[in-house]
Amino acid sequence: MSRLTEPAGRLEASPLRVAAHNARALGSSVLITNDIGEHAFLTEADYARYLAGRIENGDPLAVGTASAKGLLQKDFIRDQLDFSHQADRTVPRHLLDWKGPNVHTVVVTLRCNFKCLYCHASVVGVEQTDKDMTVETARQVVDLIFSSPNPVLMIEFQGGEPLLNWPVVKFIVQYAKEKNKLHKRALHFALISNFSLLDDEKINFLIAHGVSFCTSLDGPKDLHDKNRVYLGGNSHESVLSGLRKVVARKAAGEKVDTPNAICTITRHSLQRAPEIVDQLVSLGLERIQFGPLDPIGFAKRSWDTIGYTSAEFVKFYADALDYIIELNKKGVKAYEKMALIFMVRILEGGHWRFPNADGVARLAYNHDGSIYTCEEGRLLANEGDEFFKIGHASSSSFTSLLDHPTVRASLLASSSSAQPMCFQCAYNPFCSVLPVYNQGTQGSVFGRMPDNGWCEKMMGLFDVVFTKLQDPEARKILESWLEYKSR
Amino acid sequence: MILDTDVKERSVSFDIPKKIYSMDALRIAAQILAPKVDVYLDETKAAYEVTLKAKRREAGEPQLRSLAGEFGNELLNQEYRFIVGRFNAKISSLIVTQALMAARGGEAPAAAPAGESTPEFQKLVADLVRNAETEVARTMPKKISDQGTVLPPVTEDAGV
Repeated sequence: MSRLTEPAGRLEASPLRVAAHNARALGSSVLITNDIGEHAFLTEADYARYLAGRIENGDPLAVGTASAKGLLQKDFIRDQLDFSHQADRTVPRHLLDWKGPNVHTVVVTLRCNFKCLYCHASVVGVEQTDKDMTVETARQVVDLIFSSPNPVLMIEFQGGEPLLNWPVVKFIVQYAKEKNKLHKRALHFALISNFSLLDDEKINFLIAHGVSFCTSLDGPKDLHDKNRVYLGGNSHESVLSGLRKVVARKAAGEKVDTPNAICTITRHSLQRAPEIVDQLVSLGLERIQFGPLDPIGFAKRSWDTIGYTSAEFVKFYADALDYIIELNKKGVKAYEKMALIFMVRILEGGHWRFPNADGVARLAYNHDGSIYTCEEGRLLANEGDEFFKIGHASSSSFTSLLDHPTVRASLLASSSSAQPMCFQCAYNPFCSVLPVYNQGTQGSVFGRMPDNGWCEKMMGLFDVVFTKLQDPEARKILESWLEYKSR
Repeated sequence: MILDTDVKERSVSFDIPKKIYSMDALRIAAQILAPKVDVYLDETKAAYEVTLKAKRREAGEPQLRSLAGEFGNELLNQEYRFIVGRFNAKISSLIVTQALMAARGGEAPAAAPAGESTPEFQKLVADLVRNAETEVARTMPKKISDQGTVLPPVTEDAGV
């Protein structure tokens, strides 16, 4: 059954005054959105008036106010469209000014000293060094990364636990920085680690080379340790210890970003949103980021014990967002990452129509040099589906990666305008179709939206956020989070 | 959709009207469900006759009906996707091509900096590689066999 909603009754739209848009009944309001990513809330009566073409150019709804644009400026009035505004919004939204992949995930090893319940990464034991990236492969990977014409390059170290192959992490940083003296790009690094092996020597090197830190913290000790089993010690304590070390170095004035901690949500987390948020805030972390589980890759195997429905995650998210907004009202500085991404898309409109432009915006490199359109595509390959493998660091040129049929298919599938249901959905301009999820759960990159779990989750999350945006106090707080977007 | 199930044969059969569904949609739906079922097709003047044979041995009546439902959903999805796609196929294809062209740096992507081929840079890279390989050899556990067991240490009297 369709999850699309619309105002009661069939209303005829005036062909002259009503521009193309989608609508969604949301509580007592009607949310309307258009292809360039503008939105407006109308009462049902005003929506009927709009459809009938009875909102004149001088109408307050059309002209707006000093602080809020009206339907005219948002290009909802068909005979008053501002084509210059439309063009400005359309070019970036269709990647027409894009400069190639900028996020490069490098899996330097499959080895890991943790055995997390849901680990998508299909890791191997710490003794299996044949699952490490070699120095030669690392060199080839860095060369390929610099073949991308993007002026901004981000290299993310992932695993397994990347610190288990520390010499190769160091080599990639050093070699990339040497190359960059000639290429002159904005070059960034991020280490995604469980921090258990993060000693002072490594911290010194990483800070000196401008590498940012990211880890996973699933909440209070009992919850974290249940999810993330550390074979060699105390999982929760090792993460906290690493986080505190980096936070202390920043507090001491060293040039390092505040570390990020992503909280993976399992079935055990669903009733504990405030506790989880409190744990992160107590460490001085302003960014709260939840990682919902998806039934793909390794997590699919343990879905019966730790998985949940999309509706259950949306309920958790609504509780957590409520709590964070309440903390903000009390003066606590904290923001929720997904809501921030939504705010950028909804309020600033710079959202791509291909937000998961795998292969074009991001690439993933496995320990053996295999190249995938994205990290999730690599995880699917670990489970036997190599659809998203597009080349190898030893033999592929950058252009051959872009020319791969999978990249084109992923791009086409990422465009929600060509998806049944999506093209009628009011959240279309802000949402993202995830080809890897579709492939992993429904057997094709295009998926089947009416019973697609990703779609159900995203629509639920947008319902939560757009409902909040109608509350002036909550809206003000959400808008204030935009200041964090460049961090 | 009228379903004719045969639990012993693990199969379910039904008709698909040609007036509504195309052979292209049928083929794609069959392809997508191929990991779960073998699909057999026949046809009359007005309909495609579809038989799905479950690959799982324990498929009973409810599972067979569920497979038929899933096939029907996928078929509808594909047919609908064709309809939606027809509206914007040209512009969609153009945009994807433009996006791919932009991502490779336009018609004349910049060449690698000349400095990369100088002897000085090549020596620098060779030194970095050698240092890293030395550190790998110094710090990493011994390599292991494909079976995942640690190889015994090499002793001086080991045969060659």
